[in-house]
Amino acid sequence: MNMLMQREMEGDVASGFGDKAVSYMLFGIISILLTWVLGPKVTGVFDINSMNQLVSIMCLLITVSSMSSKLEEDHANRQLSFLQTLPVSKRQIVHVKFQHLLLNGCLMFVWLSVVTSVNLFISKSWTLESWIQVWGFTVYRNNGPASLFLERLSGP
Amino acid sequence: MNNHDERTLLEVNGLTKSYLDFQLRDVNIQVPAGTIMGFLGRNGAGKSTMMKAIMDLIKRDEGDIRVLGMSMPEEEVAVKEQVGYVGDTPLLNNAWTMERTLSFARHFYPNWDQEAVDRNLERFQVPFDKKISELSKGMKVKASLILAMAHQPKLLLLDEPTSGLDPVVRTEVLELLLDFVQDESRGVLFSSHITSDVEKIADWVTVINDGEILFSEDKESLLDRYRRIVIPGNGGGKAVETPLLFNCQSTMGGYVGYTDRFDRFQKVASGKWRSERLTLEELFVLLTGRKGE
Repeated sequence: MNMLMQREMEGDVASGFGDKAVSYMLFGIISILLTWVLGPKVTGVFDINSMNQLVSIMCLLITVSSMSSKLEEDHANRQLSFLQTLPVSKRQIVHVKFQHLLLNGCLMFVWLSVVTSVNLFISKSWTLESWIQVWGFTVYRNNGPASLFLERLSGP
Repeated sequence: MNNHDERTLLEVNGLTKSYLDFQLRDVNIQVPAGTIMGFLGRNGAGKSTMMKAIMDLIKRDEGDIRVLGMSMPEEEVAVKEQVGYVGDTPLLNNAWTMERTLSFARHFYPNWDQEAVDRNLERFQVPFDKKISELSKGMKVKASLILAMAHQPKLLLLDEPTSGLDPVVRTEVLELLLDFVQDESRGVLFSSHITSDVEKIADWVTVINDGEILFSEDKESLLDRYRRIVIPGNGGGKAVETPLLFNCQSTMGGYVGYTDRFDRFQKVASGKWRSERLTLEELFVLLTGRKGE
């Protein structure tokens, strides 16, 4: 079971790291070019909430693409069939896949929390509300689910 | 696992699997210990489907599969510790090296034999540190075989391992299989459409056509049972009329027919005739062609 998990984790760091670095760099260059062409207000790099939202979306995209590329790679190499020829039950294989997805989700949560918190601290605008807003992925302070939740908490 | 015959490595009873355009129907085979069973069939006859169903890589509709008396898939972990499988395309991770593949797989097998692995790596000259994607097709097959045999399995399931390989590599692979069954407690089920490979090494032959087993029996008795009967001249009419002959054709020199009960034919046939032993390839073509007629 540990070996299966190790195998799943291995792909996150080592395999395809070069490809990932290239695609993230490309994504970064396109973002900078867009900001330069359209002006900084469009991408909202001066607004803390927008910046956090941008970071959140990027993080989500990176995590999802990493998960799907791992699954695609396994499919291309017929690794699910290979794993089924090993003396482990199918239930264990599915369990490990699920655990890996869960772990990726958790890591994304931790990473995002750290980055957005740092961003909020640096700009000296850290409040519980602004932090929760990041987690509701809300841009508009008064419309998002997090603000509705806060409103409910704080009462009429 | 109770009335299991110790000499039977694999028992497949009533295996059925349906797809939209293909059906594997009521497959029954037994692989005894100490034998290599050649599993012959045309492309798309159902060889790979059966192999995958045995390994539980596909879900079967009906039927019972027992390996060393253990039921699949109920005891899949114990079964897979005793089975080595090589698929129709190698199941190795192209991004890994052989070293990485072996060091990963060894953790799953309590009876892993590193000495045998080293010996086979040396014998086949498989590069240890090259990525699998950089290996040739023949090398990939050899690497798959080394991996499949690394845990000293009792049963090897090989799905067309020699197809697409050059004659030198094919011979090496066949020699490895012959060495493997030197230990009489082991066995091999080896699917192929290359009849010469099966004829070279198999003790038993099973032929599948359109998802149905045509026969499964000892190779020598099979080749003894089937004969080509040549009746020269015009006097062979009487012999040709016998129901013991099929596929009779008149030729320039007389008649040619085939019998699947040569013993009986010898006793009842009269007049002048001679028999010719068939090669496995001729027999395979005769029977799989005959079925479709």
